[in-house]
Amino acid sequence: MSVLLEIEDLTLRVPAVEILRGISLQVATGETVGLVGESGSGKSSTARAALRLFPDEAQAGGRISVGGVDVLSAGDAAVQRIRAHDAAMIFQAPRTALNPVRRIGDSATERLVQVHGLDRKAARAKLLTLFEHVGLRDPESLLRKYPHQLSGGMLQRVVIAAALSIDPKLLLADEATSALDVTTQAEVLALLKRLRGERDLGVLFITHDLHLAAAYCDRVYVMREGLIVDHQPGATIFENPGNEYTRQLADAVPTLPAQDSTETGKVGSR
Amino acid sequence: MVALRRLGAMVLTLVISSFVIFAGMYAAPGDPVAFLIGNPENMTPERIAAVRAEYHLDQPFLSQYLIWAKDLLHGDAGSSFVYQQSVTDLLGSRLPVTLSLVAYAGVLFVVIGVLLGVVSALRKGTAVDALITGVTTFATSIPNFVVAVVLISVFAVKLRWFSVSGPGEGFLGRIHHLTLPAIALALGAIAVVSRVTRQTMVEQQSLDHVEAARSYGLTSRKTVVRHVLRNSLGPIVTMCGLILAGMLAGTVVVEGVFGLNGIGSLLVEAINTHDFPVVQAILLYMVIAYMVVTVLVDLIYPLLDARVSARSGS
Ligand SMILES: Nc1ncnc2c1ncn2[C@@H]1O[C@H](COP(=O)(O)OP(=O)(O)O)[C@@H](O)[C@H]1O
Ligand SMILES: [Mg+2]
Repeated sequence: MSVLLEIEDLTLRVPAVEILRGISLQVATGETVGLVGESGSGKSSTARAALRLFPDEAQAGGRISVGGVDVLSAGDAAVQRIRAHDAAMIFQAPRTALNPVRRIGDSATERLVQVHGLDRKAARAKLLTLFEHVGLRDPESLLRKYPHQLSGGMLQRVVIAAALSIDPKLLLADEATSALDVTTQAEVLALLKRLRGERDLGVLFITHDLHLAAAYCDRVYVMREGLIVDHQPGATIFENPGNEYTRQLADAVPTLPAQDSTETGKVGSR
Repeated sequence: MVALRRLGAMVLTLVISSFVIFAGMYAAPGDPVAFLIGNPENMTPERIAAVRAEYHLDQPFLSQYLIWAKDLLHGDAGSSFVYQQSVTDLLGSRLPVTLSLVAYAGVLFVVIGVLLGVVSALRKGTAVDALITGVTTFATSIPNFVVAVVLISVFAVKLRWFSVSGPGEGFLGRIHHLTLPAIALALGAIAVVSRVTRQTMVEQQSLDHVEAARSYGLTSRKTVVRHVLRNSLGPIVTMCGLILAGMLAGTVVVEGVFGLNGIGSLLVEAINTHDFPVVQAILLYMVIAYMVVTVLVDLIYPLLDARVSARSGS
């Protein structure tokens, strides 16, 4: 196992707001790492930082390395390579992460065709296979649809398939399964687990659901107000919460992954 | 269903505007007979009666309108009081100048306006952006004819790059002669289009799907073309269409200053000589031109953004 993503003492501030206040975490190959915390705790900001995606006028400190490349100080070309080949991000809100005026097929194959230079046909074939893996029915006709014609759950599976299409080494999954019903969520999680075995995929699994993270992840980081407040193996986090906040989260979150508002197109905050 | 409703609305607009135009001419001061006969010595009762009958002026207002409207439907807009020539022929001979002027101005304001808008959106907050915004703001505040006069005195009189007036011979000659008028006509529009382009692109730039595209390594050039600019096309096309529609009816001043024999100068001439059939026909042409362009924009928009047809469709 080698370290894929290493974040050390990451700070991030936009004028007047300190979003991250010293985050350290690691994801190794073949490892699934949970990042849990309430809305606004900085989970999405942490994942974006791994790809050097910052808000305008943000200032970042600390160190981030992806596959050994120092993301904060690397040249644009090196960062471009990481984004194109090494790490794929599944954005939290699938409805806004897809271009509303372009067809699903164009959006979902854009990275293969425009970034990796695959021909359109090969890209579509690859995507169709993945569509089936994430449980999308009638994938051929989906390619011709527009985002506003699909439900939130379908869109979420589309963006998951698109992210996996480049065979990334590291997957940054930001609430990637929260809009799915229980059965589909189980299917998608099983797929990710299989890829982890087959391809040594490392996953940073962001969720607000501590129970899901504990059951699914090798290790779990708990975040609050821009800080990591707890860090445990998934298996033990309930027996031995390292922090009062973790205990609160454990009590607060419902056990079943709720089919939240994303399904109807209303998407929560980042 | 939607198409039928749209068609019905267009017909209704045409009927109402043709009626208003006709009524306006009817109510205009002065007896057309006087202008038709011209020389007061010929004003004999027989002559007056003959002219009134020829031009249906002896009929009540509504029948006059209906006769005019029926002839229009057959492509006959009557004959000019002044030129003793069919109005459609007269318009046909003047339209090419106006249409080529507007087409030229259209190319100028779309290409330059969008280009300036893109540059200033991509360089948001820099000196280049400030310069473009400043110059275009200034440009919108100068009236057409001032621009025209300045262009003539600098480029035609001083530098002698262009002739002072006239439409020019042949294709290249026409392009050459129409350059200054087209610039005068397009300048304000360039400013408006560049600002709409800039504004829309800046809004688009901060959207999630643009960041998503960046997150998977799409180059910035491709991100701009395939996401930011692509998604700004709807508002840009709408604005360009509205400007173009207005321009088709708004060449009067520029044609006047540059001595171009287009529809605009014909309108002024016809008003001055009380040539009512010509005035009516030109006003109606302006309404139709405006309608055609806006309908085209309405047809293009859903092709650019499928959400629109979903909202307004069945
Ligand atoms: N572009 C931005 N400008 C200013 N503040 C931001 C921006 N993005 C996120 N934030 C703030 O940073 C904090 C963390 O946000 P986020 O990383 O999205 O949290 P989470 O994903 O855990 O809900 C929030 O308080 C949010 O308001
Ligand atoms: Mg978030």
